Amino acid sequence: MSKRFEDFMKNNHDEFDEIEPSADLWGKIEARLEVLEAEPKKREAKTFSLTFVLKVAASIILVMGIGFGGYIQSQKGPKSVDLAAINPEYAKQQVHYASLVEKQLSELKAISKGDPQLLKEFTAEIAKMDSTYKKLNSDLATSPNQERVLRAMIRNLQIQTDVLSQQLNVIEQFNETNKDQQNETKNI
Amino acid sequence: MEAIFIDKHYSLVLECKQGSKKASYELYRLYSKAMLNVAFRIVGNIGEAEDVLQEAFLDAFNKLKDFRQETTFGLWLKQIVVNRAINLLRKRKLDLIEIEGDHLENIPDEEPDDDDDVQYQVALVKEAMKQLPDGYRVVLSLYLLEGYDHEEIGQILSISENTSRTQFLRAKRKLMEILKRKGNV
Repeated sequence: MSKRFEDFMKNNHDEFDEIEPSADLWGKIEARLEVLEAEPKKREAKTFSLTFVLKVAASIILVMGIGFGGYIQSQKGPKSVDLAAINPEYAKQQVHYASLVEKQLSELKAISKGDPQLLKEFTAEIAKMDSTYKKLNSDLATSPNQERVLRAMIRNLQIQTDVLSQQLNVIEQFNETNKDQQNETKNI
Repeated sequence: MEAIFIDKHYSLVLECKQGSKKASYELYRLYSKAMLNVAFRIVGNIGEAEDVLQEAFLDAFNKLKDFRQETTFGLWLKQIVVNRAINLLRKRKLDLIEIEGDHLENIPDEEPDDDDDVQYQVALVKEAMKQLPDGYRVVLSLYLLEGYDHEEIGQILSISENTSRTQFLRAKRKLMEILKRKGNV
């Protein structure tokens, strides 16, 4: 294949540029650049970022959720709260944890009779959490999102059982070392 | 080894990025003529070529902050100009590969070396190029004057590399015909 023509074109490349831009072309570009610079914020606002769209969508969903929850609430009547109606699974959990807490609490009282100071400290801890639980419980009747409140209540109970079992452990260990010490002194 | 682009106007582009009006004008002054001719060879008339040039420069200045200077400003700008010019051709409803259908089989793989005794003249070649159909002229200028290879041309025009190659051969043959006809007259 002949390369002569290709070479000719390459060598004379610059001579093929025959036309000149008209004198006022830069003026036009400059003017339009200034317009663009004058309203950069407007342009940014037109192109919504994804996060912004998501935020708006999230708040719309939230508002709708609250509205819907409120509607359900008004249909149901606020007085007695049937936990099983909110979520049967959660209702079961609530019963389970509530009884567990009660059991542990009586256990704690029985086991730490010898140390009223410690018992007082421990039960104060639980009482604090229990007051939160009671507040949640009273909120439940009027809450637009009952499931969420119920979940928080269960979570609260779970934490109470966690704390209680830790406290029980502590007391058990404490009692054990006490016994050991007593045995040791007896032995001596 | 990676290709290293040395842009002699690197710092000028930096200044322009920082918002210097003077640097913007300087870039325009340096590149406007070459780019106008690139556009002109594609769209085929001065008015539209100037429109393309205007839009391309605005585009370039707007997107300059995203330009990471991995290539030269000239190559980058040329890309914008070429794309805008091609889009304009498309808007004109020109089917750039329409010519593909006709007498493909008439194109020999190798061009005969019959142009050895031809003394080319820029002015004549230029005139002959203007007589080419748009599709031919575009491929011919992109390949011979703008320095794109057939793979790149294929991407620009959304055609295959091979189509670009045959298209170029046909364009060249047609150009030779026109030149010869003129020479005889």
